[in-house]
Amino acid sequence: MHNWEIAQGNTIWLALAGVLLVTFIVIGLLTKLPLTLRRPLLSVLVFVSGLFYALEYFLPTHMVLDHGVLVPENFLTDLIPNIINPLAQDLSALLFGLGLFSLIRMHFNNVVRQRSGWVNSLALLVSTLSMMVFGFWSRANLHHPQWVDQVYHHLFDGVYQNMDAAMFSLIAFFILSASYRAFRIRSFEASILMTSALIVLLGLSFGGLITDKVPDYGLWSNFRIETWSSWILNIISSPGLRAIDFGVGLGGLAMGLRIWLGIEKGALFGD
Amino acid sequence: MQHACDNWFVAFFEGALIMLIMVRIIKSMRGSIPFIRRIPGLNAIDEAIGRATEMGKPILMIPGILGLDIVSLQALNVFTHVTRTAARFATPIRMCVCDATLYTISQEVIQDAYQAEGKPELYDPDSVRFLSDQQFAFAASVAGLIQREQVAATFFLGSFFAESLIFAEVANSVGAIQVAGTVMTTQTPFFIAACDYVIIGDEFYAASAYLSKEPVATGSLVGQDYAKLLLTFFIVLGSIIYTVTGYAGGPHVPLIHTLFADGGWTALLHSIRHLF
Repeated sequence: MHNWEIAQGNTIWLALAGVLLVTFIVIGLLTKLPLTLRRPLLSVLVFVSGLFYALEYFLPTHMVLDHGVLVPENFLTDLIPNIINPLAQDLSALLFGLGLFSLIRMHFNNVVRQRSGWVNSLALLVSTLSMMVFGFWSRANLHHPQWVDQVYHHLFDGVYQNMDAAMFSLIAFFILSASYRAFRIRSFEASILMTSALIVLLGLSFGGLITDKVPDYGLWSNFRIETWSSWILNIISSPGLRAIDFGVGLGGLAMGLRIWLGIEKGALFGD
Repeated sequence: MQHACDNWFVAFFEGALIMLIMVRIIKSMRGSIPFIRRIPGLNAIDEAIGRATEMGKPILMIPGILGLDIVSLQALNVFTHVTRTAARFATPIRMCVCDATLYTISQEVIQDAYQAEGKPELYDPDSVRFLSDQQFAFAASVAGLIQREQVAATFFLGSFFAESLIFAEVANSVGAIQVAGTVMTTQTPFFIAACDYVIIGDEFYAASAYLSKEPVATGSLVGQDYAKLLLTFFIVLGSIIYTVTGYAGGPHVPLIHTLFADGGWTALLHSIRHLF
């Protein structure tokens, strides 16, 4: 949005053409680079990017008034919302085009060669095209007829959203089939799992009715189903999950460090 | 935005963790390669590929549904290993991605894997597919692909959300052998319920070290364990300080604080007698 405010009228088309031209030249040059040069270049770019964020984090800050709120900033902080984030968005948009092109190419080939299930590919192409046409028409052209909006809303709210919700609702059935297999009592561990799950399920649903007569104060409150349920969740489950989270965080830190310093091997970074 | 000067303790603590990891990496690079315990989920990778090869059906790989980040890069590391092994036996692969940035990178990584095995002719550009960047549209596409192609093995590694169970249950319904691993603790139980092998928590990050036995990765893994010890020390220390001083306050009076107060022991004995 920021870029659109800078350039208006014909200037914007010139700016867009210039940006596209430069982008394709840079991408063309990068693809021509041999693999032995591409990887060191990637490592340098990654190091510089990481260094930017490290400096932004460690350098001293001063308080600045931003939208009526005092926030700590240093001279690098401003670059993140004004340059880096828009750059990342532009790059994502460009790459989305590549992804969409691949999708359309594959399904177009399916239709042309009449491979098995080509009708599904045709449905995908027609749906994609319809959403693109009516989406752009409805958003980009302010003087469009009213029926365009109606068609767009019918496609998005009437078709897409409902299909999305239908897919989400399938999870309920899958939970049932997965839990049936998981809770079959075949070993001592499975018995513990089953018992814990039953207590938690009861504690979170109508289990309170079973121990309704048990006082909810003093020592007796320990015999209520909801107490057992919250004990399992807070004392057994939560610490376990936090421990896993600590491990995951440290793993991410170590891998981030290896990538930043260019010592990571494997996919993208060479063997 | 957070800055180091907001909380210098956190900054120094992070520095200490980084130092521990770096020291172990340097030691490993100098030749001290540590032992890594057996991880069943990672051992199962070759078994799953073998089964797909025997059945002549494809292997499906999904690097999560988020964009390009550390988690998806780690998934790509494992998928490179899977692809190279599959290339040796000419087993077909399918890789579905939910993010356009990751799609372009995945294509390059998979192509490189075929080239590294000396079989570039086996690489099919359509084997890496960008399906959709919408969560449930992607889930529906993957479910359809699993059903249509009757995949023999699936690898779900990366960041997953509600769609995890859709993938796992549909793959289960076609009898695929499944290896899953995610850093999302909320989805791990679903994978455990539905998949054959699950890589839990930081085992996910151990994968590249385990598969490659490469010094930097293995050293980093041991460094992570030292960092965990440091974290554990601070957790125990914090628990003791909290118990003794009641520093954080709260509705419950800490036991030790009560006992050290005037008449604390008498009150405790009185409450025990009252119980009986």
